[in-house]
Amino acid sequence: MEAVSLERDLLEYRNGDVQALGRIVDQTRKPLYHFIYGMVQDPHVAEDVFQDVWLRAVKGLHRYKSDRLLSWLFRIARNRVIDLTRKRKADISLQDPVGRQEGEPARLENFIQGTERGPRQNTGNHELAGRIRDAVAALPPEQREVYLLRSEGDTPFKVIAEQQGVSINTALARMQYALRHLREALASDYEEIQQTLQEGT
Amino acid sequence: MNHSDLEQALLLLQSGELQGEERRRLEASLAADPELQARAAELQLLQSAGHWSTETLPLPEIPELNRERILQAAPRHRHLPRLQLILAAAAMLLVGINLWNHLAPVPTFEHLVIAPPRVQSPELNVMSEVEEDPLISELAELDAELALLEEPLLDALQDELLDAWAEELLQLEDTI
Repeated sequence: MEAVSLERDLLEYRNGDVQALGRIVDQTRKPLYHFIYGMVQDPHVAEDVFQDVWLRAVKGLHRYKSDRLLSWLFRIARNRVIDLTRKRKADISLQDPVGRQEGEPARLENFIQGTERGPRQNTGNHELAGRIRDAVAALPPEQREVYLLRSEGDTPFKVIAEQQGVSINTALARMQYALRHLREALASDYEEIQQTLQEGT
Repeated sequence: MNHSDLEQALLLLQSGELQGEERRRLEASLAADPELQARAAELQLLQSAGHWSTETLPLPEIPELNRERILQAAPRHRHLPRLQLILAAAAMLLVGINLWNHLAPVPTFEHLVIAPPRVQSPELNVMSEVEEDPLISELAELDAELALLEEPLLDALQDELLDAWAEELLQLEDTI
């Protein structure tokens, strides 16, 4: 997501170009969708929430600048996920991610046929990525939210604290706990993660 | 600074929120302490791992129908910047006030009942009303007193005139 082109599209949208809105949706799609998916752990629910977020966001979109846009979209998404959880408490729980059978994690790959699948040599990476996502999904909801806001949206702790209605120290503490939990859960994968990410950079 | 505080400071440094003297001190500590560098690297790696794991996810396309719904939900007008909005609102208010002043209808007072003009009937005895007025009666008394005062003056004047004419007649008679 490029800040310059996002700012330009926002300006064009404010000037009445509705097609610019389509480009804004495309540009924010990845981090927003991944954040939502990380929260609900179900691709179908994530798609619904994604659309719902945008249907709400378009009403006030002209008021936001590009540097605050993603944080604002995450905030709407967070509220929608909480609403959804309250409404469907029996079926959906942030503690127990959506759509999973007993002992079987919901995987986005299972819902999408053949799109953007990596070559065969990346299978190992996909499995590793799956384990990381599972570890993230197992975090307590407040910690998971802080973690996803940082990792997907690069959201400052100050903004996270505002969103969660807590002090910045609490937000930082939640992040610390989240990272500790991940370190423990991914202890056996840690070196592989280190190697893979270093190769990536 | 204990371990937890140090870790929080590292998180703030990585998010770009640590500023000023604290930032300089932590950066100096990092440069001098390999253990701290390793800890910072681990925190960064664990944060990046989440993003990397979702980067590999296949991203579902936004169905065309959903995209259309989002575009249709967008307000179809040009969004003015806030200052322009305020100025436009102020201008509209001024125009509105002027229009109101010029076009406002004259009040009709339809709810008021206009009383018929009070006309005195010919049978009305005006003097009876006047006589009842204390001011009028006072004026009348003053007028009467003035008349009493004037009467001797007029008599005296009349006498003098008569005397003057009598003298003139006698003088004329003498000449004849």
